[in-house]
Amino acid sequence: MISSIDQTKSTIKLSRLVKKFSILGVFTGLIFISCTKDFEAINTDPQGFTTATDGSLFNNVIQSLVPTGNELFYIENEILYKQTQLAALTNAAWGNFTIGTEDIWSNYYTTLPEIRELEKRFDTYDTIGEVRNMRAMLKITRALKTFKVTDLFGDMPFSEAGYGFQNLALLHPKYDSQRDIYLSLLDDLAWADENLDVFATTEEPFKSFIAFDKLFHGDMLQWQKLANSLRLRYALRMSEVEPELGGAIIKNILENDRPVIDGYDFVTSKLESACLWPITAGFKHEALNWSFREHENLRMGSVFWSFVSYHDSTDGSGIFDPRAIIFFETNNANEWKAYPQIPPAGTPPSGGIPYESHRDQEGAYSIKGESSIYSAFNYFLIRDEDQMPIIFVTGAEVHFIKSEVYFRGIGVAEDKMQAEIEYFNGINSSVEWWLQRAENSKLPLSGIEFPEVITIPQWLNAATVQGRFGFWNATTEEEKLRFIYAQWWLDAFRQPQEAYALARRTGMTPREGDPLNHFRLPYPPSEAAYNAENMNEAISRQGGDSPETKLWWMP
Amino acid sequence: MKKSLLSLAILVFLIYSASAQTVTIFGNVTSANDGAPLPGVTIRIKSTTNGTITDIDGHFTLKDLQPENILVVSFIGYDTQEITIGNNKNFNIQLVESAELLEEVVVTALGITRQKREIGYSTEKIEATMITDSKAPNVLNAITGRSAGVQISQPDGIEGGSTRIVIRGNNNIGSDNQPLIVVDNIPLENTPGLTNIGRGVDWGSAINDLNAYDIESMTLMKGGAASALYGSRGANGVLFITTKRGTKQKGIGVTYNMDYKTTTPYLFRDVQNTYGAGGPISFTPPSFPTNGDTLLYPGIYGNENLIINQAGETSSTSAEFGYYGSAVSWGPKMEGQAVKWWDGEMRSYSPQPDNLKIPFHNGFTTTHNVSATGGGDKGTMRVSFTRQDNKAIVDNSDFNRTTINLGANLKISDKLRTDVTLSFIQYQRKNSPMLGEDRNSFNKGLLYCWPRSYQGIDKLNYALPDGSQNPQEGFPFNDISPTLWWEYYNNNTTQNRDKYTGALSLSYDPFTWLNILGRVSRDYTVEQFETRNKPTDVLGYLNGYYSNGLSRNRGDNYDFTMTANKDHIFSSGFDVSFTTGASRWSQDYYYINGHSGTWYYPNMYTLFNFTETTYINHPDGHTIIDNQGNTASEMIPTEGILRKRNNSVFAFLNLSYKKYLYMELTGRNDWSSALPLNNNSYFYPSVSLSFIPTEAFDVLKSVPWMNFMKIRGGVAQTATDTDPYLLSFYYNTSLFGGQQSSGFPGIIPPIELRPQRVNAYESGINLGLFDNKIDIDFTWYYLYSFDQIIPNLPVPVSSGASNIMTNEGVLSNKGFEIIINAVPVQTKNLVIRTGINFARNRNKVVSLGGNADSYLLADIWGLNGPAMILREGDAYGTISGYDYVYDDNGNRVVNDAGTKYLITDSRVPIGNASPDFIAGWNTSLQYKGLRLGMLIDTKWGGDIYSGSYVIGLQTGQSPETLIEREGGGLPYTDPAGNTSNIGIILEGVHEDGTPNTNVVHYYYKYLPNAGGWGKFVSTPGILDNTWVKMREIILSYTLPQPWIQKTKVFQNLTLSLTGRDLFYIYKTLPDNINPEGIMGSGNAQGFEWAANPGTRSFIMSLTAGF
Repeated sequence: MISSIDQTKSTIKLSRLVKKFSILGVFTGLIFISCTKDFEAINTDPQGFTTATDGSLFNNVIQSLVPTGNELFYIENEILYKQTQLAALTNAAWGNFTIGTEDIWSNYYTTLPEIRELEKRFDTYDTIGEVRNMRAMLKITRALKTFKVTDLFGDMPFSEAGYGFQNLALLHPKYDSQRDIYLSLLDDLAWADENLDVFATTEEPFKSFIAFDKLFHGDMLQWQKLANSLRLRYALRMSEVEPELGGAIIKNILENDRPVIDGYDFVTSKLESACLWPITAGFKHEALNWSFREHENLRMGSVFWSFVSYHDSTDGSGIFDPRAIIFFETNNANEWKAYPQIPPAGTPPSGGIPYESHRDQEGAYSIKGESSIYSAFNYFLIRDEDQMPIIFVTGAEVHFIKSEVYFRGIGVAEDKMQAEIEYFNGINSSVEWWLQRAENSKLPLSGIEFPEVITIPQWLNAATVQGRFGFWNATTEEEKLRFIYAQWWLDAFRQPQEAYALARRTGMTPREGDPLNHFRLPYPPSEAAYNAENMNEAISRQGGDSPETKLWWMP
Repeated sequence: MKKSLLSLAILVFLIYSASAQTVTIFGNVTSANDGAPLPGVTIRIKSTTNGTITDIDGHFTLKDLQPENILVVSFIGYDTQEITIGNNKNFNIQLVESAELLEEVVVTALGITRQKREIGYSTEKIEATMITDSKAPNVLNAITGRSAGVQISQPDGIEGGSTRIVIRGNNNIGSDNQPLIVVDNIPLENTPGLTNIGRGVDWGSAINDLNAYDIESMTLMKGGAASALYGSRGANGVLFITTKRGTKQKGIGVTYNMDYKTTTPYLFRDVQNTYGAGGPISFTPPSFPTNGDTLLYPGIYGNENLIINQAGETSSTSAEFGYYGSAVSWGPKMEGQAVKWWDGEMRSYSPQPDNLKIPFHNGFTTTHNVSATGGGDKGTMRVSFTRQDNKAIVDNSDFNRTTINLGANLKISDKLRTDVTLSFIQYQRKNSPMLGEDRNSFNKGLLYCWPRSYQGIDKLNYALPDGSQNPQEGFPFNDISPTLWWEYYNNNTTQNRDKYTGALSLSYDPFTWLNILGRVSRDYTVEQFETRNKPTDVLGYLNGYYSNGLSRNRGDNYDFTMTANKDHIFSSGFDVSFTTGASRWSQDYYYINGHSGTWYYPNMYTLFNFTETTYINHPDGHTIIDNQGNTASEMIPTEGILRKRNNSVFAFLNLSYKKYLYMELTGRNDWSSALPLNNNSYFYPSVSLSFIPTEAFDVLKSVPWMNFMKIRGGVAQTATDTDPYLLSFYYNTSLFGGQQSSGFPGIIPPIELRPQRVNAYESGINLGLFDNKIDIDFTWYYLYSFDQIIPNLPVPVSSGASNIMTNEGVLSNKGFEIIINAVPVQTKNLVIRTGINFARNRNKVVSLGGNADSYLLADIWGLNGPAMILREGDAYGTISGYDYVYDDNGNRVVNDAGTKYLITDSRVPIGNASPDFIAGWNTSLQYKGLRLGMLIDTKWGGDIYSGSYVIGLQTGQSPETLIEREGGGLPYTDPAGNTSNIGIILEGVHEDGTPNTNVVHYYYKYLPNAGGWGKFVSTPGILDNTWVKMREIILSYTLPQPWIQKTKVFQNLTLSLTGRDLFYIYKTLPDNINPEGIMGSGNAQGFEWAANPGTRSFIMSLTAGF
């Protein structure tokens, strides 16, 4: 009896308790569930950008045209100058080119998402001329970037690449053959030539978009010229293996007189080029300076020297080409001295500090280091982060392309006379264009103890170059062709990748020693680590991954 | 009538009773150890509820006792005594400290105190004395070797650096694995200091701020069930720390502690002292270059003119030996020759046996602590003040810390209590040294850049007489700053951290069976980093730099719990306790950092010291820079904001049946601001059981040696959220050409995020044997961590991103822990205790999800050297690197010339850093006031990649590189035709399978062991790193109470001498390389490169009570 009363009491107590607790539980639950409403605000990064304008994305694409320090250091300075013999590498490379290949690879592929995003956005816009212009600008820039990478590596991920943010199924993109990439990009460039509307009015979204155009500042004709110049360059490059396809493109441009970048017109200098100019675009090309300051091993080589000076006098009395003085400078004893391109045993080592920043300082310009006994790169050329452009195409190159196609009759009828005209146009425009660079170049604290600009003797000009390398000095047709390639090669002094392509395609650029047997860069290790299956398929298709493996377009 | 009679009888009986022989006794209770009075001891009369407790002086009085009464004297932590009164009236009772090991009371989740026997999961309690006696640099280090399955490591660095603690292995692939540290219910932010395994500056972590003298106890909650109630943040285990609240004390209640510590760097790398600077620039015997008759400083690198054979064929040093540092000591013998040094002075080319000690000296740390405590019926309070001053083992890196701590509780009424803790910590540190592979790290200099003939002249003359920087013209050492010592002394960064923590709780008991508790707490830290780089010129402009960064971190907690208890519910044998509650934790972090530019004003350390860039118009129309200065965007300060909130509700139910069966059920639901709205609420439960057969079955009670047995088991799930700001897609943005440039981030954001979870299974058995003099605790556990949030799983960059964030990884941990504690000797005056703990854990990467095969945890030289890479199916801790190529018979393959081993194209697993087991053995002997304690701990097995070892070989610094140089090699004829016994054969076979018999120069044996600027073989650096260490020896003496009382000043006085990190009893690393010099406190453990020397310390201390 008693226990049953107790039990009832307990039950009442318990039910009260349960009631109390459930009220509390619901209450606390309510408090907290209602509190999740602040979560979105709490979890928003006040400094994060959730939107990006078309122009700012395009600006990022243009920004990626600036090569990174590692690319300049490990690929240009360590490999390309040596392989092309545009300069001499005086101390063995560390062999650490993978830092450079990784940089080239990631610079290209991490810009693709911006390009893919813009392509996706443009698909939703009206197809008015202004939008077609935006599309063309993007296609041209994409082609410029892609050609550069494929010409270093060969096959590469392209059609499936850069879509990781849009499609998780494409995290491991397959490799496209270089031929497919070439044809696709050349189609894009042809589309750009056809669709660019140089008279388009600046309406939105075009107006905002071109405000970000650091390359040509909205000048559509320049974009069109770049597109056609690139078509010429790459059509010629593949014409060794695809003469018909390549020739057709060249023919189309030359016969229809499509606008291209122009260097010289008989007597009129145009001196056009497609470059990114740090000072006008508003950035500093710090990587350029760094890549030499930290490297210190490049010097003027004997091959280059033999193409700019009649003889080896160290006082420079044999120099006939002003570009010798623009590209290089004297050693610590104010002498012109080239490092032997193939150094015999016992060659005194090079050393010194010709690229270091102390030369900016008052009174220190002349100090190049006790052991700096060979001519180094001109300090202005590698130190001027403002005026020295990042070159994509020069007017001279286009003339040399035309000279070769007329000379060899590629796509157009053979015309030796026209070839000679273009050849001289090429020399004129290259020399004058580089003289202009010399005149405008400036060091950070100039005007104190060292020359304000590169000083070039008055008597050196394009004519003195022609005096040595005029067609009339050639004894054979082959030598004339070699002259064309040599001047083309000289013009590409700050585009060693173009000189490398020319050397690989023709095998006829200036050279000492064995023929070139370095044709490409091995794929970067990160691809082997994370995209091995696709990479290995491409390697077996191409016959290897070594520098000796030839690219598709190489004869 | 009957009633009256009865009443009378009772009255008579009472009178009789009253007039019978009742006695009043007086007594005092002291500790048998030191004779100190014990207040609060319970004196009960057996079989009654009557009794009393001792007063503050240990005295007690009891009246109306019969001689046959038996006193039961009991006190927590002491053995209970029974004393028959007899004819005595004065009792001097000495209590002996309890040696029984199972009556421990531990603090569990949310600060709830429970008897250890009830608990169904593994917890370990560390007493305050153990922490203070260890004199460890911080409270985590004090646990080293004392707790099973808890791996504590002190990464390379000097005192004041980070400490890494991991309980039962890694549960996270891509995020922190360290447990949550809770101090007085306030979660402490303890982000690890330096996690980079290659290089960096370690500014330490917040745990260093905890003052050992303020700690009452620490409890480690290891298993999932233990930490389930801490939710997301406790998934890696919880270290629960309680600080002191004060007690009633005899005397004025003031205690003073003083420690004086000397830290000595002693474990320097073994090196040869015969040969000095010089690279392998010729195969002829090393010689000095000369200028006339003057010997010049030897060169490091040759060019293409290295003559490699008698046919006159040439190669280059870099082609033959790759890249090596300028510490190469392959030069001439150091015989005191007069050599024109690189600075132009003639100096003696002589052995420098002590040059590895150049940056180091003894360090000193003094700690003073004063605390006052007191209390009464209404509550207790303790205040303490601690000051610590450290002089580091290197110059210009000292720190000091001031701690003020207050703990109090107040009984407002019978039903209402409040508890307050407040602490203020001020920490100042100057310049933590640069560690590892950095051009400003002197340890790199000692290992990689400065040869055996290095005399440290650049340290002596880093400044010119006019006070400007000595540019060290002619400095011949690569990859290290020529002006390192200038920067070391003149470029100063000062860290100033003010930390305020406070908690207030209010506890209300409306009924005896119900408790309601509310608590608010805050952890508030303001930290400032100020950098001042002194200008290097006389005028005070050049290279001057100033920066100031200020950060503020606020962690707020609100807890509310309600607990109901009912014993014998419904008159059954069940006791029930039910708790429900809610909590909120939020973090709000902000920093701002500004810096000066190119200085415009001399010697002016301010943010406005910069130079504006000015432009002029060139006649051509171009704008050109007239004066190079700073652009506006360079001068904008950076700032960062991080905010996060977690809300939770939880409940737990404890059931016990007749003191032998216990069950705990918990459930918690969290809401996290860092997870998407559809997934931000997540629930996770736990259950644990504990069964005590020795209580349940009478038959077991008859087993004389078996006093106690407990079988326990638990299953729990914990869940963790992730970092904030991962839900939205954010563009990277920068300025290019003065306009916005928007790019995609390097990581593809997760499509959907859900919490990552750990399922934890644990079971164990406790045994108390032989009067509980031996206590055995065995635990087995299995952890399955799934839905891992991996923030940066690598994908090919051709996808457009380098990484993707996924939510799919799986890790597992399984292992066991054994703890055995014993009291082999216990007499009134002598107690010997000993304990062993042993743990083995296997940590496996089960899955990384579908998007990648491997996850790069860390590397030092990018793709060129060894790395810690997680691959599916591998053990966590696998070290990968470039291995030798082996033929089918396991022989290394060597090239045709016999000069080089072939190495693999890609990185393959070559070692594993996980130890076979970790263990500790502690033992102590107490004889009256004298105590001798000792702790030995071991890490057995597990590999290390030791950069110091391979660079020592490569640079010819290691003693073993002397063998061939001293003529212990094979006959070898150099290109000049000299034959001497300096040759070696690289053991192995050629690619065609024929054994290599080519004798080549010894350079080919040593130089390729390490490399740089290109991939190099990693295998030689993989070494077994087993060590057994004498971690601490303590000798302390507490003066006997009678002596103390004569002083009339002291209440107690203890003197002690402690030696810490004394020596390695056994170690497998060669060349005296520091076995614990592992870089970084991140998840990648197992890389060493130019570690600091090992240090040991001696501490004298004094504790006085007033």
